[in-house]
Amino acid sequence: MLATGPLFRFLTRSLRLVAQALGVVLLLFLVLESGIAGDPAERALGDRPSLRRLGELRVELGEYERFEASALEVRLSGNPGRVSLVPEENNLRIVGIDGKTLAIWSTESITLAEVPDAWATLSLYDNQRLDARLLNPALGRLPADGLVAALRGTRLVVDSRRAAQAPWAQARPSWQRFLHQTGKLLRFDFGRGLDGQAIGPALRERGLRSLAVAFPAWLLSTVCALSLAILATPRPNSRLDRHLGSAAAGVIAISGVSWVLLLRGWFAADLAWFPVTAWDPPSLHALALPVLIWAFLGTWPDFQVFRTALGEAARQPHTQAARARGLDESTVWRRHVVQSAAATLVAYMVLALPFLVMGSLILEQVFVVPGLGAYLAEAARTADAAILRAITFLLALFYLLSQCLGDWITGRLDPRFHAEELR
Amino acid sequence: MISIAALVLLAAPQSVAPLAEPSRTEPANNTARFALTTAPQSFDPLHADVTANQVLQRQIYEGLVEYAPGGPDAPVQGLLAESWENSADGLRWTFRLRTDARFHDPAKEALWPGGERTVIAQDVVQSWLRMADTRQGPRGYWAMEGLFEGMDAFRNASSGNHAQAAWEHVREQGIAGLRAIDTHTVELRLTRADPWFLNRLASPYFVVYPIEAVDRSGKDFLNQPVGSGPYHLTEWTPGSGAELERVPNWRGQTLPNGREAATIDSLRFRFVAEGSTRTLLFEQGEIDRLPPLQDSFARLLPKGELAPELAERGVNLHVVDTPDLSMLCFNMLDDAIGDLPGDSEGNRQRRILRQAIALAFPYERWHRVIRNEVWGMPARSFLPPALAEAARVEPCTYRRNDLESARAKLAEAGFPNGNGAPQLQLELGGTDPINAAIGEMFREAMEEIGLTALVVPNTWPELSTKMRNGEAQIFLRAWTLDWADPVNLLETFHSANLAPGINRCNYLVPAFDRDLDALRRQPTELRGPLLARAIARLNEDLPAVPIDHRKGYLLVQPWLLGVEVHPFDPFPCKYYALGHR
Repeated sequence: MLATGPLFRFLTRSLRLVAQALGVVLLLFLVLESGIAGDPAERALGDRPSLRRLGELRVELGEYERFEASALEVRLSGNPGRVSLVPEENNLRIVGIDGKTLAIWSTESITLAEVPDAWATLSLYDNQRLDARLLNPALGRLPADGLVAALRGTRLVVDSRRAAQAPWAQARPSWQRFLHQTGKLLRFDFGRGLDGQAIGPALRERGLRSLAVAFPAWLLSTVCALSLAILATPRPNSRLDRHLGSAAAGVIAISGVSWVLLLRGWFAADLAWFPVTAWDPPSLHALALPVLIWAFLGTWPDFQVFRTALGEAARQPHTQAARARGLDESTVWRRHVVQSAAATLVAYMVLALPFLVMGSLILEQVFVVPGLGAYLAEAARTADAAILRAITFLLALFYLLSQCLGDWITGRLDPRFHAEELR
Repeated sequence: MISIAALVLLAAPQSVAPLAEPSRTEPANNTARFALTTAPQSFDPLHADVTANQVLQRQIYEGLVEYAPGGPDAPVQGLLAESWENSADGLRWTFRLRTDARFHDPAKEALWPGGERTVIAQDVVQSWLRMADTRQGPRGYWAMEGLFEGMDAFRNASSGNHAQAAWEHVREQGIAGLRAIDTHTVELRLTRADPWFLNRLASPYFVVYPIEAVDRSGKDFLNQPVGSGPYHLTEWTPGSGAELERVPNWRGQTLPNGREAATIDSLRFRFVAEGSTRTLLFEQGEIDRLPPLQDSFARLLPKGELAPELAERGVNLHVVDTPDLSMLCFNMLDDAIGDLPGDSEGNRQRRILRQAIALAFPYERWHRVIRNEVWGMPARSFLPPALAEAARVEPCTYRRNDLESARAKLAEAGFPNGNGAPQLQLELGGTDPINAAIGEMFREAMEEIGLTALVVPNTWPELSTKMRNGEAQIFLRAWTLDWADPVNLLETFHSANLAPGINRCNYLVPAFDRDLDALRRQPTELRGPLLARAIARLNEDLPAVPIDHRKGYLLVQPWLLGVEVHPFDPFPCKYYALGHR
């Protein structure tokens, strides 16, 4: 039957996978929208922001459909004073010098041409009035809520000593931007970053560079960790086991950055066995040191996981029963311990795969590898939403794919999982 | 040069490795190698606001003028322009282009037969107008805003419905303020005289390139630059590094010392984010110059002097007075310490309070702890000493640590021993130990005169948002000048630049604005009284207190010759030469 057939399972699993990846993207969208990472437009402008430049850049980033830098001239007449126009939902809050709200002005169903009359009736401090003048009559029919949209993230200060110019913008609704961005992500069209560079090719090239360091390092650390665990586990609390356990604790206790700097200083600076950078130009010799350091740092946490998994398998009743049947220790290990721990170990290893593409942020910075880790660090620094979105989407997708792969392998290796699935 | 608003604070942690022996491996070819401290992203001159982009673009593109070799005081000299004339009123400039300047296109399928074309006046017009075209996302228009007749009108048109038609029109015809008179003459009409116009033109926003290269590459022009400079791009990884090679038949240039320019065959730039890696590369002779930062400063330059090991190796040290100002800023919108229209008595009281805070600020402790006694030069006035006018303006009298006077000022403001004074709030732009030290130092200093100060740690984006919205009461800020014009700094106090613009103190004094507007138009020799008045007003009103000017240090390998650091042209590789490594 289709409802239980492999095709159905594949389809539901694929849909779940895409939905989960999109969920991650939605979460990231909400986080970036909240402004927690800073305003990308303002970040891109650095120290020379202005209302006009912020607006123009938001058009470029797809946040605004249209922007007019000078829609209204605003003056505070009457007694000397100062008010701030603060944007809120569909309202402009008018705040006085002392921080008190003097008025909340709703922009609903009002055009720019009607603003001067509407503001003239606002009740501010005694004998003070907000005078507005339409600077370009052609803009008169535009809705006044564009005044609120154009001040997003900032405010307009109107001081009686100087007229201010209020901008106007037509914002693209959040849901529209989310759908637009999601549609592009599903087509694997990642667009361009704040620096104007295409993101797709950068991800491909940088991902491969990260893999060039990460994959051999992962392979090496996995082999080392597994070998050490197989050596230590059969003799719990032996001198070897204790020494390996202490070594693992010692390595893990010291921060990765310190290890990287220490080992780099030793092997590349003092002994000069390796070049200081790994990608200038890339060569086996140049890549060897970051690979070895990564493998060294990756071995110990893996060793502890593997040792625990093997230890648990060694204590299983069927293992004890095999020993009681008089099987020799190597057979017990081969047939019972390793085989029964294999599913856990493989699932653990497979789940590490997607993160390999990301490279190591620290190693890539220290050894000047222009990989994805360095790319992500720079994107986070500049709050480049497009790059962060693309990387998060791909990472979520890879992670979910590897989860599926892990499940599949586990099912094949461990009959208990398979039986579970059949039921 | 890029202006920065964040006060970059330096720390000097322990070094991680001893001085390494120089490497025995020396490159066989004539290649200079440099490490960049920020990521290069684009070769499009519209993105010249990023320091690393400027450094790379400087080697490929040329403008009408450039800074001559010869260190900080070097004047502006012709580059693409052979000669120029300026009308008596300073409003009309006529530049005559040299006839031997040629663009070189390194692409396999070059734009022109032989890959070269002569630079003509129309290129100047089209390149500069492109900076005004909002559709292109230019980041440097501020350098020409309001300066050329008709430029702002074109900028407005470029964002409307007829943008393409407006562009087609101006790219052929130019605008009133920017026109090609003939193939080698450009006429510029300015809306106001600008005594520092040539210095402005020497900035990286006014370079010239063939518009057909933009037409060919479209959005990828940022990866496929075509310029008339001595180098062209041969290898490029955006965000990481680039390799440039000398153009074989570049027209050549003889330097004042008789040496030829651009004798180095190739230049290799790599972005090295990690400070200790840069230091190690320099120590091993793998890069040719190094601005030592906090991670290695104490080891390479103890007390600001070359370490004996480096001196022995013949490494040269260049110390540059950065043309900048670090300030303690007050938000003039704030009702506790600011300036409120119509409240003259309250304003007087708050001005005196600001003066008391300035008198209590621990400048010496700042210099010792934050600048390590070598990374900054105590400020005398608002103007960096690198500016000729700096010596001629009055010093800021409140920039001194004088607790007695501070207490007297507090009493004068009606807050004897701080009684009744509002609580101060210092907003920090980081949560690192150095920022924490600044906060502690400020809080203790204010306590000494009886003021209570709350220190608020922020991430940089948080502080940025607070400054943009006029919500930060007191904060620290640095401004680096783009060219040696005091107005470039004073703009940060003009009311036209109120938040979210560069006037983050929200200083709004019409009389100051008028002085600054007049100052912009005055010939340099007549600016003295106006400049003195504007500075005197800042000294008295104290929207900010000048703290210090940063010092830049540069280590140069003995084999890299011809390095003379100009604060506004920090990386002119064509003036360099390579000796024996």
